[in-house]
Amino acid sequence: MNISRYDQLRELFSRGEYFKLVCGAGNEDAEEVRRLATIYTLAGASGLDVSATPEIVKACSEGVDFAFSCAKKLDIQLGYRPYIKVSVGMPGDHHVRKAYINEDCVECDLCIPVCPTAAIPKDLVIITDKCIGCGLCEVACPPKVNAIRYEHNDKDLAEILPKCLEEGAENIELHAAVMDNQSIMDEWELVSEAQQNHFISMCVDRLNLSDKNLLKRIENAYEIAGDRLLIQADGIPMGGSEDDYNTTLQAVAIADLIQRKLKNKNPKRFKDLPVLLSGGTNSKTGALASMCDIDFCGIAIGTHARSLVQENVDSFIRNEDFEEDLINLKTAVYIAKSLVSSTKL
Amino acid sequence: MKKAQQDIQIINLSKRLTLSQELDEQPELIQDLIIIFSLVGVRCFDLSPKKEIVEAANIAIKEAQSLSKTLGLEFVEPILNVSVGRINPFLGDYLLTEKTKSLDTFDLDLLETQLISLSQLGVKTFELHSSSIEEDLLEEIWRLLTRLVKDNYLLLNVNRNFLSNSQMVNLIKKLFYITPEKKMILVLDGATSNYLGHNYSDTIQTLATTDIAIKDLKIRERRVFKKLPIFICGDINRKTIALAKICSIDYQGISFGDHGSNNFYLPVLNKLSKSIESKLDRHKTISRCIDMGRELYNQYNYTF
Repeated sequence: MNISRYDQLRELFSRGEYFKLVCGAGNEDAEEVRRLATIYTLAGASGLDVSATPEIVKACSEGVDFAFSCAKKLDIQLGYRPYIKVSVGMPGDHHVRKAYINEDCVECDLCIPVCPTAAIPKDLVIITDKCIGCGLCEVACPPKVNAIRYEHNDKDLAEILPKCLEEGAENIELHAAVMDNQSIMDEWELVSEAQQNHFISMCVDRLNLSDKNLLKRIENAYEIAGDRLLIQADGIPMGGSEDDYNTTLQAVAIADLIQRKLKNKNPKRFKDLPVLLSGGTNSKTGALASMCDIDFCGIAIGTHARSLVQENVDSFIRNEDFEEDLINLKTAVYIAKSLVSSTKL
Repeated sequence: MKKAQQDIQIINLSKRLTLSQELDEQPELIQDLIIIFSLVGVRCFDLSPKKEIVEAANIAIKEAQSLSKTLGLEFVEPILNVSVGRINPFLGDYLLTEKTKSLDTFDLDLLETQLISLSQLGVKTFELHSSSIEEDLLEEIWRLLTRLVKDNYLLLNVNRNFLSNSQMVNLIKKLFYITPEKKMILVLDGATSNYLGHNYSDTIQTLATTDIAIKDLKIRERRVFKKLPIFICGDINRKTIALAKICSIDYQGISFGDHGSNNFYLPVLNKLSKSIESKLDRHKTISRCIDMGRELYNQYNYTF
C-alpha cells in the first residue's frame, strides 16, 4: 500500500526517528548546500533544512539526486527521499539576518576566526551568501568598537514560497522568535496557505519569549495549522558546535516545557504534537532528552553537523571534483552517519 | 555563641533551607525545624514574612545554642532571611497581591514599615521574588531593600515564567547595578511548581535557567559578573546535583523549599513528634533527628 509523504513523515515523527540537517536559513552558498545534502542523505538524514530561495532548494534537491545516484557505488541502501524544508523568518530573528561590518571597524580581525561558516575574509567584507546570522562576530567584536550590524534577509513569502515548493521543498518553517505576536500570526497564515497539505513548522525559542508567551504562541499556531503543526523547540538558536551536554541543555529544557505545559496538560489537543529538538543540538541531545523522559519526534542539527564534515566539504570545493571523489565522500558520510545514528535511541 | 558575620559569607548562605509555606501557620513546627537543622549545619533559614514565624525562629536559635553545649555540637548562629514578593503564583501572595503589584497602587511605605519591623526582630536579609511584578515596582522595592540591608547580601529570585531570556538578564543587570557594593545573590528558579518526584525532568528547568544566567552574565560579561553568587532553587530533587554535573552547571548554593518539605523536614518532624516529651528523651530524640537530617542531606549529595 502506498502511503502519502505526509503520512510517512507522521509515522517517522511518531517513532522519534526524524533527523534533520540544518544547512542554515541564511546559508545561500548553493554549492555547499548541494554537497551537504549529498553527504547527509547518504548518512540517513530524513530532513534537510535550507534557505527559502528557489536556487538553494534546487541545489539541495540536486544534492539528494546525486546521493541516490551514487549510493550503490558506496554500498549504501537508501530508503525514501529526505524531506526538504525551507526556513523563513521575521525581521529581528537571528536565522534570517545577515551581518555586515560598518565603518567603525578597527581591523582587529577578532571576528574572522570565530565565524563558523568562514564568511569573513581578510578584507572584512562579509560574504553574504555564507553568513547565517549567528552573531558570533558581534560577540567577538570589542564592545567599544561595536562594528557589527545586521540587515534582514527580506523575502516576499507569497511570491517565494510557491517557487520553493516547485523546486522540491515539501515543508515550510517559520522562525517565530520575535515578540510581536500579531505579525508572526500573519506570516503563519501565509505559510499555512502556501503549503496546505503537509507539515508546517514553527520554530520557537526563549530569547524573546517568556514561558507563558511561548506556550500561547504554540496554541495560536495550532489554531491555524491543526494537526499539520510541527514545533521546533529551539534551545539556543545556532547554539554552537560543541558536543557536550551543556550545549544541548536548552533544547531539551524547552521541549520539556512544551511537554509539561501543553502535551501533558491538554492531551486531547496536544498529545501527538510533534516536537523537534534544535538549537545547540549534538550527539548528546538524544541521550539527555531520554534521561529527562522527553517525548520528541526527532532532532535537527545545524552547526555541529556541518562542522563535523566541514573539512570534507571544503576539500571537495577546493578540488572541484566532488562527484568523482568517492573516497572522500565516503569518509564524510561515515562521520555524518555516526551523528545521525547517535540521535536515534 | 559564635556569631555569623554580619557581612554574610557566601558559604553560610549556601547552606540554606527555605521553609515550606505549608508550615506557615505552625510556628511550633518551624521552631523544631530550626533547632534541628541549625545543629545539622544549615546557615540560613528562609522564612515567610510573618512576625510570629520570625519570633519562633529566634526562640529556636536560642534553644539550639543551649542544646549545642549539652550535645557537644558546633553551633554557628544562622542567618534569618525573609522572602518578599509574589512568592508562588500557585500558592498565593504574601505581601503583594493582584491589586498591589503595580507601582501606581502599591503602598511602598507600608511595605517598608513591615520590613523594618521584621529587621528589628533579627531578620538580616531579604529575598525579592520578581515573578509577575512590574519592573518599575520591582526596582523601587529593590531600592527599598538596599536601604534596609546596608551591610549584607540581598537575594534576587528570578524565573522565566513571565520573562524571556533577554528580559531576565536585563532585569538582573538593572538591579545589580543599583545594588551597593554589588552585594547581590542571584537565585534562579525553575518555577514549574511540579512536585512529582525525583526525575531529571522535574529539575531541568531550574538548571536551564541557571545556564542562561551563567552564559549571559558570568561568561559574556565576565569582568562585571564573574563573582556574582548563584543559588539554585525550585524543583530541587535527588537528581538535581547529578544533572548539574552532567551539564556542567556551576552554582554556589542550593535552596530546598517546598519539595524539601516531604524529603527533609517532615520525616524528621514525624520522628520528633513521636518522642516522649521528657527533657532527657527530647535531647536523645533531637540527637537522632540531627543524624537523620544529616543523612537526608547526604542523600542529596549535599553535605556540610
